[in-house]
Amino acid sequence: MSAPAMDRTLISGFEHRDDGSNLRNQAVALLAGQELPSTRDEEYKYTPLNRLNEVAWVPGPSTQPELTEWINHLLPDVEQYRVVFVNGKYDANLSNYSDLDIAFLRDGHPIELGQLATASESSYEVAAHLGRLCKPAMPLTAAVNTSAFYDGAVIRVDRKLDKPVHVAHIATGKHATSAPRTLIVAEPGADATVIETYLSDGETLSLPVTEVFVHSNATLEHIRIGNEDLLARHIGLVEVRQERNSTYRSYNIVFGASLTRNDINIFVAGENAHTRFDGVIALDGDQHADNHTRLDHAVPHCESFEIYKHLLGGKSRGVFNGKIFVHQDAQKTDAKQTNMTLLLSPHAQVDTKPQLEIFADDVKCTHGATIGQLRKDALFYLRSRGIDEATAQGLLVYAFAAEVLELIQNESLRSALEQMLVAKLGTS
Amino acid sequence: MLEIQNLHARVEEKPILKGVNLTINPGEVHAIMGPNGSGKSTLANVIAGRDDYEVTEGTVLFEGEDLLELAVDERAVRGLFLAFQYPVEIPGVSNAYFLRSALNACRKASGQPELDALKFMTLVKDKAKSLGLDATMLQRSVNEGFSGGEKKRNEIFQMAVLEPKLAVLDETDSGLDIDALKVVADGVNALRGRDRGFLIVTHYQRLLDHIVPDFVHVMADGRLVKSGGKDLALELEKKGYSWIEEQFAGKA
Repeated sequence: MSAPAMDRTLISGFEHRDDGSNLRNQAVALLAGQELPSTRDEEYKYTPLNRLNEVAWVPGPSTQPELTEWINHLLPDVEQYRVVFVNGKYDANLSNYSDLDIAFLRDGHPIELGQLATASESSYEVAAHLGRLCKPAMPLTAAVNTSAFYDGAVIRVDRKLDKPVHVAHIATGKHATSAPRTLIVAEPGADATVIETYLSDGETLSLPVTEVFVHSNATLEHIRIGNEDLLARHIGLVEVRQERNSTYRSYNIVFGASLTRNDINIFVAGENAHTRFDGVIALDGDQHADNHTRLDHAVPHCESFEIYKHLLGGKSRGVFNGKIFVHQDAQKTDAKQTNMTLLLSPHAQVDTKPQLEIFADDVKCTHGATIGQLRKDALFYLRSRGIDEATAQGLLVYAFAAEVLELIQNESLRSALEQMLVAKLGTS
Repeated sequence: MLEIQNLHARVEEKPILKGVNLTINPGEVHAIMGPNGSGKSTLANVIAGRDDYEVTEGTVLFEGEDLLELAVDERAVRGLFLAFQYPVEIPGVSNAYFLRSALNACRKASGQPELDALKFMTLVKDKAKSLGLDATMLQRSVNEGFSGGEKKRNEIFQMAVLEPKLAVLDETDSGLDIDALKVVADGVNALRGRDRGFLIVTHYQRLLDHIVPDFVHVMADGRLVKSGGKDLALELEKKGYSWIEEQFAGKA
């Protein structure tokens, strides 16, 4: 079978911006010969990329929706600095971060929040970070995004923030594409929560890329929520680099989209760093979500914990591939990976692949995967106290996911996510 | 309130209950004793509605209603309670949330208004304390990490909150030290009243030192083979079960 023609369809669905910068030039050049991977490629073995080929995508139009249309999806009960992008373009009307007092750069000058398209590559901070983790030579997502992104948030934090920064990406319009780009820089000593929400109102395609730098002694909680329309497609890439004594906590929440493929890659470059990266994936109908994580322990004395939980109903399918690389120098690494799946329907399916590659000899690394159904004895126990069957099932399903959601520090955010989960489970 | 007639039940193909007859009136405390494997726990679980057992013959009426036609939760909201021999751990569900859901389901079924979180906490804190349970356990997951004694006290605590009409205690005394046994017995005795019935399944007589039953029945090979007053329990304690089995075998 030759390489499918979908590559062209996909690539021509984006508006590629040749602004003469090195970053764009490289990406555009790469796209000329780029092909979508096929299922023969081990990394895409279970990903139905043909779902990208089913429609003729078009660049997302410029549009300014009313706040009232979207406010219920923008975590209204969570106090936040809100930055909203619609089809990849910054929307001042939906954003609200007036009292944000952190500095960013645009064209070399400090501003409150940068729009990447106007922050020229020559500006020091952006140049030092943008594209450094996500090289266009990486998979197609990176090349398309880098050649096509318009605006993007540059979130640079150098202190403890009083409330989360919420970057929301709305995709709207029939067959609209967007290439959201976010750069998060937690400077030394920073302590912040950044939420990324992905929303859509129909059959849209998003190829977001987020680069995250967690500098020494910084703490960053990073919550990524995929809550798009059930017709949407979402191919996301998150690249993280951690320095000495830093803490990074990632929560990858997937409830929406027909097809989700996320790659989350974390490179731990400094000693005594802590990493926690978890996921809650709740699917039904014929949703497919494919989450690949990769953690590189490059230096000694670091610890990482990972829990990915799938709740799969209908004919949905989840895929988890968790790679942990312990480099030769990374002695005293403590890494623990767990993937647990609850199958809520006889037709749901999960493919799970833990992949630990250890080149150091004095490390503690464990991994485990479980796949199961609701426990009969627990259901009986709940029902024997008067709780009806449907409620008892809901409680147990919720409890399964709660182990991860309970780790989220921000209480109102945690409660918003719990409500979203209950709503999601209620419809399945 | 409970009338069991000629109850037969089996698990897979193996008959366990072979014709149980038992009537419990409001206010009565009945104890069922018997050797291991005689069918005591099976009877308790069939009454509660565990579906591992298949009822092949007989009837069970609860306040005149056919109990066997009701789902597990329907039995519970009508006032039936089973204290488990092996309480189940449920990670991720707090005791408070679980018990409030249960209480509100029962209240709803009997036409009472549901309780909000605040009223519920006020109600349960004292009850937890009287059973020697730290109120912080309400925020912990159901039975998770509880010691054997804590699990059994939690069963009695749930019973105290739900105030069932008929409580079935399935070997609640097993694995308890004497102090925990006393706490559990005090919890049960506090609930004794003329409207409430108890069925206490136990292997040992010692629980019955603290919860004095009105009737004692001996179960052997799936039937209640001997009934009497509280003295029967003492006799069993002294002589063991073998004489019952011999006598029963001689009759058969």
